[in-house]
Amino acid sequence: MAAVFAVAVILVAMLALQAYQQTTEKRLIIVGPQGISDLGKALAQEFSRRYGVNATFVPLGGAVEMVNELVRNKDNPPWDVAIGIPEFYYTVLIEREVLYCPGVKIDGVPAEEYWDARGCVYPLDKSYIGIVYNETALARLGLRPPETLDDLLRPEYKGLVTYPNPVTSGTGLAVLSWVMSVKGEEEGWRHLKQLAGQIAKVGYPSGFTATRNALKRGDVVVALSWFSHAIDPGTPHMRAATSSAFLYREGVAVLKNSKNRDLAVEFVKFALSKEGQDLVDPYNYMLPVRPDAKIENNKGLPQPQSVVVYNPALGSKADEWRLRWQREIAGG
Amino acid sequence: MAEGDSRRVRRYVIPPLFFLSAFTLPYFILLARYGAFLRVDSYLLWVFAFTGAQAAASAALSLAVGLALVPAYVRFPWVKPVTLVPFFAPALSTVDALIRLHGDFMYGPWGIVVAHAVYYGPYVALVVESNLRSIPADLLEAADLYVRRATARLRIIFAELRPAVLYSFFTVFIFSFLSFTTPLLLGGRYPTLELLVYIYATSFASTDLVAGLVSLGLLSSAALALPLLRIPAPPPAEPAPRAPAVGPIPAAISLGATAYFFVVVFHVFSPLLAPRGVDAMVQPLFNSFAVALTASAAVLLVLLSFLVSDSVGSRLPALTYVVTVSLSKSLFALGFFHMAQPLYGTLLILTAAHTLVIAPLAYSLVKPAWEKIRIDAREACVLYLGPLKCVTRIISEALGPTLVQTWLVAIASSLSETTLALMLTTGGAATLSAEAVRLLTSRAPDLVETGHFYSAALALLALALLAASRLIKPRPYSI
Repeated sequence: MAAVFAVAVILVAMLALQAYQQTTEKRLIIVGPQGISDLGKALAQEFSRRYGVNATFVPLGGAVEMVNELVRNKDNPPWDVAIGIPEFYYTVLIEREVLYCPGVKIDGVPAEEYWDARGCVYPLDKSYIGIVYNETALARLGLRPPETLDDLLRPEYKGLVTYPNPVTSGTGLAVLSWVMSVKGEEEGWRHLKQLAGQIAKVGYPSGFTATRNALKRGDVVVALSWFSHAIDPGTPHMRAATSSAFLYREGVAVLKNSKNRDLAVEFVKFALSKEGQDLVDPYNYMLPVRPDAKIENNKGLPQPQSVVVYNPALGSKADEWRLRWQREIAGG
Repeated sequence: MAEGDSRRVRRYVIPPLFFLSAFTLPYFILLARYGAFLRVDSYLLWVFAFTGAQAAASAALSLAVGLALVPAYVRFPWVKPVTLVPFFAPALSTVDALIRLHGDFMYGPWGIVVAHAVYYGPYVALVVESNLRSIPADLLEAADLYVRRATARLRIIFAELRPAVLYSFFTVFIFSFLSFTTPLLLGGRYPTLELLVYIYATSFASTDLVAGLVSLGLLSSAALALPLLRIPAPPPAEPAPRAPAVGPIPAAISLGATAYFFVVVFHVFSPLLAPRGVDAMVQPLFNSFAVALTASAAVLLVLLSFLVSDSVGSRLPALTYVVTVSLSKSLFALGFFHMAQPLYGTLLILTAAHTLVIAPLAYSLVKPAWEKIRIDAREACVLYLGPLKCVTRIISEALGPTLVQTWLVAIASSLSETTLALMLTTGGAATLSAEAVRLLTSRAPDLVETGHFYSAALALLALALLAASRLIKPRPYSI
């Protein structure tokens, strides 16, 4: 018994010390969706090196899941700054007063790249969401690649399609926004319900990483996901249908109750600097928002013929859509 | 003098009273935050009805499975440890094994019922077998001698088994009503109220949907607690002079049911043959053990304070057990999250929550051993040494091996726990169980396979601890 309590006392001391350090130490905690982990770690590492501080990246599920966690923890967040906040799901952070709006001006980022007029969320990167498919697998099945959303409802694609779960994933919510923008709400829901019958056995992956993994393994042949799968060496057989795509823009923001707010603002400046933006393409397969930033991987990114941009008028409907999707599509 | 005694008694009641207050405070915080009102929509009503229906179906099927297993338990006692693996393994490991065994069927509405029957069927069999062995031998002999028709004999035996049948049906109903991990792993298509609290509190934190669930969740789980206080426990397991006779046909049917459990157990552990993600497992495993070792030691302290309170005749520890078993864990986790906000993201918050949830369970394990100590010996001890010294010096010595057993069970419970782990930890401080659930629900083939390995490893750890606890065979004060 004495040994048990002795070990417990030591462990409690360790946990208390860890908790104390976590809540008081002067360091920057960057939070972001799992799918952006490589960029998050690279930014943290480079920021630490340049500013002589201890910056750490913490992955937190999908982008939508992360936004909800930021809301849930708004009074006492264990993080300082968030990256990967989607353009189509950021207003909730403003309404719930989760963010600090520093209103700083950053040179070198074109004005048209800023999508939050209140100056709370700063643009970080962008890319396209559309139809992507495994060219080799389709050829093996003797199927023509799908070009439009309606093509996905054809009987030959039954059991081959997927898109990420919009309850947790930013990519999934982008798909919902795209479908609703293109088809209108009523027709959009009808389309999604019909699409539910075409979904592959893996179901709706929880986020970008899970979708990429399903594509890599060939468990899914057609997906509503990132065009970047077509230039990702991990998914070499993937191609993109370029007739239409949705422009996905994501940003970086300081949390209002951050314990290191000044450092977090410095991080935002760094993420939008040339040095920070140079990390976007190699580590995130996304397009940087600065025209002078380095682009290597995305040189081969498929270009959509028409681009659907986010309609702010639909923005307030994101939670209503997610709830309806949870009940009517996921719940059957 | 009498006044002094009553003051002394009140002093020893303070620790369990404090504990009960700490356990119930998160619920009051939720009520204060969201208000005590019912806001139900058609979907919520559907979820409520489904939760109740699946709990009733699960209890009925568990009873059927349990009764089918009883003949094998009586004739071939060596099958018991194997069939009990799904019950003692973490729920996520058993569900994961069932998904691999039955495929898409498990994602349908009956998947949750089958999963519950697989966990709880062997538990029901244990309770019924214990009751069966308590039937007086002369009654069984008289039935054998004077009742010719097998159906009439069965009727007599079932009349004797009524307490066990009622008790196990009701407890399985409660466990199934409060099910969380099972519907989560089964895709969330058929959620229970417990799961809906989690979904609304985390994935829909941007809305106030969870507010409508607080009162409903509390009312329904409190309604479950009340009968639990009144329902009589089945007779204790006392070996009968001779085991009840089991014919070859019931034994064969029972062995068939047992064979199914062997297949399930194989599926629980088979991912261990293909280790994956071992490097990434180290940190969550360390976190799990750090929490489990600290929480289990705190549990022992709480347990001793409960015994002190028990020794002065307080019923508070028993009441605390009923409250903690029947109240919603998801709502507790949500309330605790608000209560201990500054600690969110650290392992201390999880340690504290585990202590509150596991301590009453540990008390329920030690209580029977405590009651085996002769009452006059207990009274003499309390009279001469006082409750505190009696429990810490004499009783803890007498129950030492039982306390070690309970400590091991508490560690295993902490390792297996998922509801609190998912709601109180962040990606930076995940436990092994939370990490396994995240991987298994990701729907990414590679990650799911890693999740299979983690869930099997977790099952192995939990069961090894429970097996170790069974190696300790103290007489006469054993669990």
